[in-house]
Amino acid sequence: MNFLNKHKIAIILFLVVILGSILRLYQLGQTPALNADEAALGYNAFSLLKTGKDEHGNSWPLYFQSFNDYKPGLTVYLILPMVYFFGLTEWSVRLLPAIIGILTIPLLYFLVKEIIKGTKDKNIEKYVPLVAAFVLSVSPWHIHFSRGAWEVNIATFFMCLGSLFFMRMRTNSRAIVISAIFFVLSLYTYHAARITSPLLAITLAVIYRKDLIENKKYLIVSIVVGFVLCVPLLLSLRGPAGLARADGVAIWSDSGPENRVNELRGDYSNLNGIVPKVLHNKPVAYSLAIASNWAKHYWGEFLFLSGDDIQRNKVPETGQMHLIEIVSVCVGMFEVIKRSNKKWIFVLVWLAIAPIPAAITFQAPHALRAESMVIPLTIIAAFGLVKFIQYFKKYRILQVFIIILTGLLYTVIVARYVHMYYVHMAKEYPFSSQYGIKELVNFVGPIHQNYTNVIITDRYDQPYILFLFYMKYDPATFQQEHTLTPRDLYGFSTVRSFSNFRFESIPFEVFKNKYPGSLIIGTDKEILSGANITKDIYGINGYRYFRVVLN
Amino acid sequence: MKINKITLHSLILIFIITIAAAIRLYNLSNVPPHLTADEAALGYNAYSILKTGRDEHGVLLPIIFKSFGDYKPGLYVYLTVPFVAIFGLNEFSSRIAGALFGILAVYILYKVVGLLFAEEKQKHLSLISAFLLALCPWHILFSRGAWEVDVALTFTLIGIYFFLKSFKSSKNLLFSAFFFALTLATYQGAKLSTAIVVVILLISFRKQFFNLPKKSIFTAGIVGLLMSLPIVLSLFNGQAGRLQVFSVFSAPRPEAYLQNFLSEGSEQVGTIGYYAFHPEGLNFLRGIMGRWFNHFSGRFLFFEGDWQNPRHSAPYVGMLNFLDLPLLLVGIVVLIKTKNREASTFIFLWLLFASLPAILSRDQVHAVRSLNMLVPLVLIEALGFSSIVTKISVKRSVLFIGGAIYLIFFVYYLDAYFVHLPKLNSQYWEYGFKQAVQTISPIQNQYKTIIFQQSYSQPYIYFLFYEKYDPKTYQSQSANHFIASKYGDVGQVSNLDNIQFKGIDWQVLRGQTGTLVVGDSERIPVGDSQEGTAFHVIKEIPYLNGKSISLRIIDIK
Repeated sequence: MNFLNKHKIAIILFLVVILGSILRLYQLGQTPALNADEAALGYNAFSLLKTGKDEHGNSWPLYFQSFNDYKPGLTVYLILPMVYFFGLTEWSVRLLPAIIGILTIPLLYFLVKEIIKGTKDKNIEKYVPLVAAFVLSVSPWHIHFSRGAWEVNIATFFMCLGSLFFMRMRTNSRAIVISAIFFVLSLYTYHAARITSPLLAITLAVIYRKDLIENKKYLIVSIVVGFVLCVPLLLSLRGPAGLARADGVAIWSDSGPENRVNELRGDYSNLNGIVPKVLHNKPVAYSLAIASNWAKHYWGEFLFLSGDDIQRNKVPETGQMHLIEIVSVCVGMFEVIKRSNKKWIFVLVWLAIAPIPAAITFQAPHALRAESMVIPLTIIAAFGLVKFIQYFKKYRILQVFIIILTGLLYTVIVARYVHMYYVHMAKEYPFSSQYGIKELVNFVGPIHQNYTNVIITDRYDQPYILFLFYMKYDPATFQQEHTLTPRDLYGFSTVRSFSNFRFESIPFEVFKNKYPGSLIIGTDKEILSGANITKDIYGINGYRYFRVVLN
Repeated sequence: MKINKITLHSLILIFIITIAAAIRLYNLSNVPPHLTADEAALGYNAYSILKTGRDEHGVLLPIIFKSFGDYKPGLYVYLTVPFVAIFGLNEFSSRIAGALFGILAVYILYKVVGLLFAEEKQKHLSLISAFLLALCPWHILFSRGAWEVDVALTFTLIGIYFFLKSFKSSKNLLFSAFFFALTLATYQGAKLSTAIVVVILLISFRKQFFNLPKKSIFTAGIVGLLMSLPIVLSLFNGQAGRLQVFSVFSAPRPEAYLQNFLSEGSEQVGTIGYYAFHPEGLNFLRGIMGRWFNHFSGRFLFFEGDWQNPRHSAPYVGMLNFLDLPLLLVGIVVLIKTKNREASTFIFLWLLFASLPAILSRDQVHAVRSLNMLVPLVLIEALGFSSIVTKISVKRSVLFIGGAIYLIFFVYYLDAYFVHLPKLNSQYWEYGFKQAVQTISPIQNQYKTIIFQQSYSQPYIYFLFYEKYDPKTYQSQSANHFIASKYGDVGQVSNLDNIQFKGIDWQVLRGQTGTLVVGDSERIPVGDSQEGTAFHVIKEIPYLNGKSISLRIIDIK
């Protein structure tokens, strides 16, 4: 009993981490199905292990060329040992990212503890870090991107570590060096972090400028270390990898704002007069588009009701946060602003800068690119929840009632989330991930040599990589026999064929005569009636994804 | 020569009101580019009252006007009567009352802020608030035109002014009740929106209010209730159809959506799983919250405006100016930190609940039903503005520089409103009916029948309005031609003399020699009605964007 009392906080934190682990690990291998990006990370790790080169034959790269999107490479190297020990499976690809997601929970506990250190109110000091850990453990936003090899979630973890060690600088001056290392690591993990992390570091530097000046020695060391670690990254910016991603998704490759400039100038009789030129030009139009994208990330519909527009990034009828958290976020904002000491200002600035990478792309709001928003929001929600309960401290019974009610509401809403995740998500959004391909490979893999060609529809995003993944296709052979297509409109490339597989859209009438003695595998729409269908392939959600035709 | 402080203060105020007036009055007849059916109805009913003392349906001096069957509270009509008497029946006289009340609102807000932040000794805060209201796109849009809601807002502000003033002299409470009651006589939605304001005032200022003499509270209550009685009673006479029709509570989620969703998990209505995870109540809550969030979204406030009703905002801009975004963010911080708890509670609560009438209807956003929201927004902006300015320097010149910068950015809105709104949005302002009436009127008697495409744009009212149709003559026939809606909503008028308003079936009509047909290019296909031996195209009225046709007037030979 004495033990329990003494370690009460640690035990609760442990239980919260267990809860977070269950939510992040249960059915990790199959829900949702592996997507093309995850398969690419896994297969490239596999390829490195076997041949020392990535799928396209580049040896130990910093970026993985993959679909010509040049994925920052740290994630591949992190999952490399997993693939080595456990083989190439969905579980081995996803386990480490999930564990990093789980570790973020206790990490947030310590980060929040650091942020509220020095508060006079003992209850705040005691409960806010715990509540923050809890809110993160059940956060739809954080759970979603912990379940799968999402690089962004690893970058967020590094940002939290970097921030924590930065704040620790006051007690241990060497911590600043460690902080620099973690911030740099995040740059090697995810594209968006290259904007968010430097801004975060600058914010911290401005807020803690006095401490930094007192701490000159280690400041210089950390700058040197940080810079040296950045050199490979800076050098790479000159290569094809550097701005590859930016070109595909950046807002300046969207012609919408430009068209609007033309439309608005068209209302003037003299299109090139001074007034239309000053008011309606590209800088104005694109600035407005960016500001509008940025603001969309604070829209309640996105945060609390429906989440991202992109189906892959969301669960049906669920926001990025739970609906009841609107109360704690509002109370939290109110109380944070009332205080506004420098640590809280850091949290608010984080909240403001996290959507910037997403704002300069043409899809907004974007849960993935703006994922690090989840950290400031969770901290604010936790603070708000504790404060909200404190409002009732004069009426003890009412306060107990509020606590029980909060517990009940969280139970129901998390249960609903789990229900939506495991029961409805795959069926409501059948194309949100590469469902059905594993089943297809299980069928085709063992028999494909019996046919001249195996033609597979390219209807669903990069099927080649999932074939390589599930067949554990020999990387050395693959490196020799494939070519990458030129980039499409969005900057992506794909592989059209390897071995006797061909991936393309299927004009059935043409292919029927073109490929005798082959398997033609298409969607419902592509395969016409009268074809010799030997097998239908269903995903785990019961949806019929492919029809296999023996031609 | 040195101007003393008080004179400078009044000079600035006069300057602000002049700006407000200039923006609200400039080219009022032509921008917005056409009268809406409601504007025309208000104008014509004022004309009818002026000439005969009766409305278009022949009712003597009504409090609530039946109009299209939507039963408009009629104060706006009576306010318009003198202007119609002076300027005749035209766009300007129909709209001017709204514009004048919009200008008045700027001055009233100046007075209200003076009382609300009296202790702060921040005289410039009142000026800033008035300045920001004068330049507030949301307020400008609804001041320029016959929008009853804008007049109701001004009455609301006057009511708030006298309410706050009653703490100094309790007799003002009576005026407050009087003006709050006037809002009900002005605008349908005021029943709810004014109730919200009154409740919030009572909550925020409960201490001062309940210190007032019981007698004043009682008298004010009685006056308020008696004045609201006719309007409130009309609720029970079935003259408030719109309230029910648009209410959110008559819209559960579609059966197909629910069934599909439940079938995914082999669930059924009525089981525990259904009540835990998919209850109808949660669906309502999500709908209401969604609409509420929409009214606070950047899309609505800054970047797109009322995306469901393009008539409620200028193209490609929001309900506020872009510079208001930083002002609002700073203002929220100031408001949270301010020691003036009554004022901050009042502003916060009003901000949160002003959009309630819009949220309880089906539209995703609605700039008219949530119009009151602009006042707390402007007040918060003003707090932000004043805080930024005083942070930089206490010198008064900084205030002027801030104002000048704001004015420069405001040009973007002026351009959006005066240049782009008429051109890009003319179709949302019913453009084309005036031009059609002006074309048809001189030749109306040459045809035995004229067939005009029926719609909820209420074409008949434009004939009454632009022909200055004799009210007495129309009153005698209105009952025969008015077709009430089956759903208790807006009805239609079937004919006016030789003009029939009805759906156009071109296949039938195209053979009716000697008929004049008016309709859009969808109903009268251009390909099948070319100028030639069979048809004479009298006129095609294009929308101002130059791309599409509003109405085509075809003579069947």
